[in-house]
Amino acid sequence: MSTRISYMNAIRDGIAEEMRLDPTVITLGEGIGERGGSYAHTKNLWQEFGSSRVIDVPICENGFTGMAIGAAASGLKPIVDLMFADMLYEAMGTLCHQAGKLHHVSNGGVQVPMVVRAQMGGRTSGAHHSACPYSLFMHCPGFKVVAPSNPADAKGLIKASIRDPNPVIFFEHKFLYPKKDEVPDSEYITPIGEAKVVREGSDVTLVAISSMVGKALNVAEGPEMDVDVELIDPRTLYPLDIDTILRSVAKTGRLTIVEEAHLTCGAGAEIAALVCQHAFDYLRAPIIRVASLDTPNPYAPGLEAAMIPSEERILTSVRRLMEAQRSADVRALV
Amino acid sequence: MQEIPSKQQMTTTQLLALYEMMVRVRRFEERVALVYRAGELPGFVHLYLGEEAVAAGVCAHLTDEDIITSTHRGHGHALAKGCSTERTMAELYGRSDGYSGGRGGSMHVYAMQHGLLGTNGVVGGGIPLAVGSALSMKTLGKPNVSVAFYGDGASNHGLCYESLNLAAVYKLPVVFVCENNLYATATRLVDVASNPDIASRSDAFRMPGVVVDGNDVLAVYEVAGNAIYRARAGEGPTLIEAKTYRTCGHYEGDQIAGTYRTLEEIEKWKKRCPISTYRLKLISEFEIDEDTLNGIEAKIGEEIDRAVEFSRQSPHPDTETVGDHIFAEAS
Repeated sequence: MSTRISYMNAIRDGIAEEMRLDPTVITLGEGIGERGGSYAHTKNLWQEFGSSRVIDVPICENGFTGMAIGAAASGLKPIVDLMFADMLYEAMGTLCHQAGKLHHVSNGGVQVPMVVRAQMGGRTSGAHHSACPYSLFMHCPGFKVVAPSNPADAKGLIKASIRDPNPVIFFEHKFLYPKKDEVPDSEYITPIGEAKVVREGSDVTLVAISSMVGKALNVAEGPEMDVDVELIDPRTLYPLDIDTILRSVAKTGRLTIVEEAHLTCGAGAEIAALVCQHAFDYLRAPIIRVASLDTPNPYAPGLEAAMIPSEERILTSVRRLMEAQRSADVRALV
Repeated sequence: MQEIPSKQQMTTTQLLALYEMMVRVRRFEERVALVYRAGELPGFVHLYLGEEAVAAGVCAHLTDEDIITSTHRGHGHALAKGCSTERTMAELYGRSDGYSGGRGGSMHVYAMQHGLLGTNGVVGGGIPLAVGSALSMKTLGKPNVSVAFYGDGASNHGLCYESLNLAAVYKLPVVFVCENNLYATATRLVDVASNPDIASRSDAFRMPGVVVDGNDVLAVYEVAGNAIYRARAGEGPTLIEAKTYRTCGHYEGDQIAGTYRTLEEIEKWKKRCPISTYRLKLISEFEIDEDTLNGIEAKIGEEIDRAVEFSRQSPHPDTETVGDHIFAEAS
C-alpha cells in the first residue's frame, strides 16, 4: 500500500515518525515552529511536539548549528533546518571544525548524531539562495552526505539520517518540494550509502544527482533518444556507492554525470576520477560531466536556465558519447 | 540542590583541594615546557601558567556529569575537571594512552567520562558546544550545568555573541567564564575592543555579568559557585569575567616579553601569583601548617614524574588505525 505524497511532506512525515519514536530527536531552525517553516515544510510539528522540541532560533547559523553540535554530543539528536543550503557557508566553520572531526579526534569518545537540512537548488532565487554545496562536505571528513531525488527515498533517507550516529548533511532540492509520488504506507528505512538503478540500459550510463534524476529520465525516455540509457541515482554522495556505478560502466562503457552543482570539483569530478581509476579499461569514450557553470546563480530566469544543466545539454552529452572514440578531441566534449 | 557556597563555610579539605589543583596545573605546565623544549612533544602547546585559579575555582563546583568546553590553552581546565595527569600528558606526547589516543593532542583533549567536551583549536569554537550541552541538560531534565571557558580573544568573536544570546533566550544552565588575560596572542584587548569591560557585555543579553579577580582562587570559587547555583536552579546563564594574566608566552617557545608587553609588567603579575598568594593566605588566615602544603607539593611532584614516565612508556598509536573513528557505528 502506498500514498501519493509530495517530496516536502514525505520528509516532514519521516521527521514526525522519528520524533514520535525517539524523544531525544529535536529540530531547530528559523520560523519552523508555530508558523511551520518557510515552505510549510515543518507544518504541524510544533503543534504536535511543542516548543521544547521544535525550536525557533535567532538568525545565527554558525551559533545555532554549534549549539546543535554540543547538544548532539551530550544526548540529543538535533535536526538543524537551515532553510537554504547557501547558509551552510555561514555554519561551515563550526560544522567542519567541530561536527565532522569530533568523533575522530576524540578517538571515538564523542558521537555527533545530527542532521542538517539544507534546501538547495536554483529556482530564480538569485546568488544567495540557490547553492548546491554538497561536494564541500564530501571533501571534509566526517560527514555523510545525502541527496534524495524523489519522495519515497526522501522519507526513507531522512529517517536513516536521524538514526545515524554521525553528522548527516541532508540536501533537499527546493524544485522537488511539490513533486508527488507514491510513498509506502508501512514503516521503512532507505539505507545511507546505496545507489539506485532508476532505469536499466546497455549503451550509456547516466549518473544524475537530486533534481537532475528527473531531467535525465525525461531524456532517457524521450522521443529523441535512440540509444539505451542506464540511469543511476547515487542518493548518497558520501559514502558513495561507487560499485553500482562501476558495474554499470563495465556494461555500457560510456558515462555522463549530471548535477546542478558547479562543474569544478563537483561530485561529478570525484565520480569521474573513481571511474577512471577503477574502470578505465571499460571506457569507450571520455567521461562527460554536465554541471552548472562556474558562476553564481543569476536571478533572471533566462540567465539561470543557461547556467543550470538542461535536458538538451544532457541529450547532447549522450549523443557525443556515442560518437566519440577514445582518440576524440576531449575539448570538443566538454 | 546545593547551597550557595561561601568561603567562610569552606572546609579545610575544600581549601586544600583548591591548593592541590592549582599546584597540579602549575607543575604540569612547567614540566610540559621542559619536555617540549627537550623535543619530546610533537606539535605546539599553549600553557596556562598564571591562570590556574580560574580553572581550579570554577571546576571545584562541578561533577563528571557537568560539561565544560575549553580552549587552546586547556590543560588546566582538563586537569581541574578531573582528567588524570597521566592520560592528559600522554595525549600531549601523542601516545595511545592519551585521552584521545594521540589523535587529538593539546588542543583536542576529549574526556566525556569527566565531562570534558574538548579543549579546542578554534578560538571561540567551544562556546556554542557548551550552550548545546546545556540545551541537552534542560531538554532531558538533567540537574547539570555546562561551563564555557574562553579568553578575551574569543570575546570579540561573533560566535561568542551568538552563544550568549542563545543561552539567554532559552534560559539555559550554562556559565560563561571569560579568562581575560589582557592579550589575544600579542594583541592588547584595549586596542581591539571598543568596550574592554567584558563582563558588562552581559547587559546586552540581559544576563548577570560579574567581574572577579582571576588570581584569587577563593574569589573565583565564590563567584562561580553563585553562577552555577543559579544555573542549576533554572535561572539561566551568567557571564563571569576573570581578570588574570599569562606569565608565559602565547605558545611555548614564543618570546615572553619585548614587543607587546614588558618584563616589568610580567614581574608585577608574578607577584600576584595565584598559588603563592593563596599559600600565604592558607597559612596566615586559615592556620594551615606549612608541612601540609609542602606535603601536597611533594605529592604532586611525584605525580607529574609518574605522568611523564607513563607517557614516555605509552605506545605510539598503531598506524594501522589511522582511518578509525571517522564514523561511529550504529549501536
